[in-house]
Amino acid sequence: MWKNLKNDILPGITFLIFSVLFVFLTPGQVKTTESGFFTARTFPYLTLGIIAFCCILLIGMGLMRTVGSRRMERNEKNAEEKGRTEGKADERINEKINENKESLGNTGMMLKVFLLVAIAVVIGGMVGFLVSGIFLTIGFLLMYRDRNIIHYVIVVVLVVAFYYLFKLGFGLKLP
Amino acid sequence: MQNILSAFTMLLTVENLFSIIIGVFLGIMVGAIPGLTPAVALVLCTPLTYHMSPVPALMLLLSLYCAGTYGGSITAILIRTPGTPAAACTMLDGYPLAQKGQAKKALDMALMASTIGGLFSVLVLVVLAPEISRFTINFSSVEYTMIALFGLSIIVTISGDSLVKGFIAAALGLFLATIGIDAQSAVIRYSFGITRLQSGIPLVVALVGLFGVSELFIKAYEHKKEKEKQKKIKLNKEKGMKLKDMAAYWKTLLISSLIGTGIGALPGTGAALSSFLSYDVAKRKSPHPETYGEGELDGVCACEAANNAVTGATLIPLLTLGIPGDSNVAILLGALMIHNIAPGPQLFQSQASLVYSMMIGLAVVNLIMLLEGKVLIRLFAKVSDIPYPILGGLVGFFCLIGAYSCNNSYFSVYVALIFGVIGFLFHLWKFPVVPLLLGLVLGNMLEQNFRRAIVMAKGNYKIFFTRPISLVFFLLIVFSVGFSLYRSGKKKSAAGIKERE
Repeated sequence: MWKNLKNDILPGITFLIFSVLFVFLTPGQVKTTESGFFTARTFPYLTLGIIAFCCILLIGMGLMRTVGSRRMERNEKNAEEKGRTEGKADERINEKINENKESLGNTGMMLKVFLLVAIAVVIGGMVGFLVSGIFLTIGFLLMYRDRNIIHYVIVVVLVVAFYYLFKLGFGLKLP
Repeated sequence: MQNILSAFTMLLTVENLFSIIIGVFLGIMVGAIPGLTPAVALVLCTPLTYHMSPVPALMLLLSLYCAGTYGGSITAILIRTPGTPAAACTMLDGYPLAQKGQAKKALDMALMASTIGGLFSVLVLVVLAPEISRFTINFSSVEYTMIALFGLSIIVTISGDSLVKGFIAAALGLFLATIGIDAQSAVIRYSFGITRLQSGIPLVVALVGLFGVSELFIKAYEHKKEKEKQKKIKLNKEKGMKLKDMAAYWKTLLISSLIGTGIGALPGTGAALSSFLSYDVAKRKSPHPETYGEGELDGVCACEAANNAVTGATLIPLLTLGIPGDSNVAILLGALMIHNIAPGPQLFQSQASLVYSMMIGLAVVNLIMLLEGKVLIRLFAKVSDIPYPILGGLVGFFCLIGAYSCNNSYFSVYVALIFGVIGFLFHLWKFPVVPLLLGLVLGNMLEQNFRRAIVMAKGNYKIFFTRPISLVFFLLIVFSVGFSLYRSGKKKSAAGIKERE
């Protein structure tokens, strides 16, 4: 059930909200005086319409699958109660637990990396890429609990080397 | 002939050869690192080519693409972890061979088969591409609209389990492509008062976010606390293979190269499909199929010849029609646009020498890949030992620089971060990213040509079905979508029967 919610219903709702929101924003964001069948608004409306239609389909399919899997669970529960397919039901329940565990992933780690990258982006804007690069690479090593001090030295040397290679070698105007 | 000669003079410069040598070296390294695909390497290096002239820039990127596809086989053979999805098939026989103490032989076979497959596809590219472009030169907006739709129809084949998700992703890409000034009416669309958005979302910035930044989030999300240690097979002073030994495998090489080239020329198929298909064909044609999967050199040969034959063939739809067949080629398309090169039929007329230098350059890339692979194989084999935390941080650093250098604006870095989040959400929700990318790439072409065609036909939609070439493309779209739907329906019903059992 959680899998259907995560993979179908949640994205379906998100993109549906997105498309509806942009349909309402379009007159203000695409100010055109054109007349006729095809204006600057037509294509965006068309794509938003496709998104909305597909999202409704996706949500519908997700709901149907959820109902189906609930029915299946109920049947299995009944069968288990009757003592006929105990082994199979146990197997399925274990499978589902593992499936849910897998689908959850390491959210904490992901959020940490996101914050690290976001902070590096902000720092880069203020003090330049050299500092933000060192911050990012060292942050990565700390986050993954790398205890090898040589790795810290290596990344700092590499960041400095690449920064000057891009700046002086490739002629990029880096902050 | 004239074009080929001038292409040679354009190509044979120290700068170009240096670009190829560096590109091949980096490509094999990146390909050999599990989790880093040639697409990531292309995305990270594209912004660095801004200040280069077009030929060396394209040579660098083509080298990364071609060598990266081969590089994936190294770890597939040595640690049973394919560096790229295309090398997954190589693992089937490559790793058992390595376990038997024939790692060097398997690696040599992978390298030489890749080179031969790559060269074969270049030959087909040189012969076929100009002919196709000659045929497509007189296409009008009507045909271009259909070509763009045909390019988008490959969503069906690359959408994985859910076609609806593929359509949502593609429509989102098409919508995002409308951001900025409309080329026909000069109306500003969805800029929200941000001046930088008036020129639209830069393709390369979106690519950096979708393929580079999102990879950092995905890797973190999939990070497991307990480490899985792979047993690595070391390369001793064992005997490898020589080029003349390949003569015994000529049949497999020829068939696999043909399969790889054929599949590569079709948009949306990819190297992984071609390698599995040619492996299957080689196994069925073999007098001793039972040895496949147990360590059969012929298996490695089939997979590698096919997946590298794709690299040249994917350039056929790109250069002649402007349709990118997969994510790697879509990034190459972005790079071409940066250098003011618009792929399509006109390209063979306006910049023939450049196109030929790209095609011949790809042959040179394959030869240099053979040389570097032979000489530096022990070094490349060690690449997979680099810990991910070091790589991850550096990839992040390159992404920041890559996004910024697109237009020397910090705004691009924020856009890349947003696309990174979109890429991660797509992964989390099991949405395919390539349709989004295709939508972004083809959106402008589709909208502008569709509008022009409708104006030309005075609002009559029949024009798309009355012109013969347009009708052929329409039928191709119907066939491709219908066939894929039929195949996925069959697959789903088989899975349903299995589950019920």
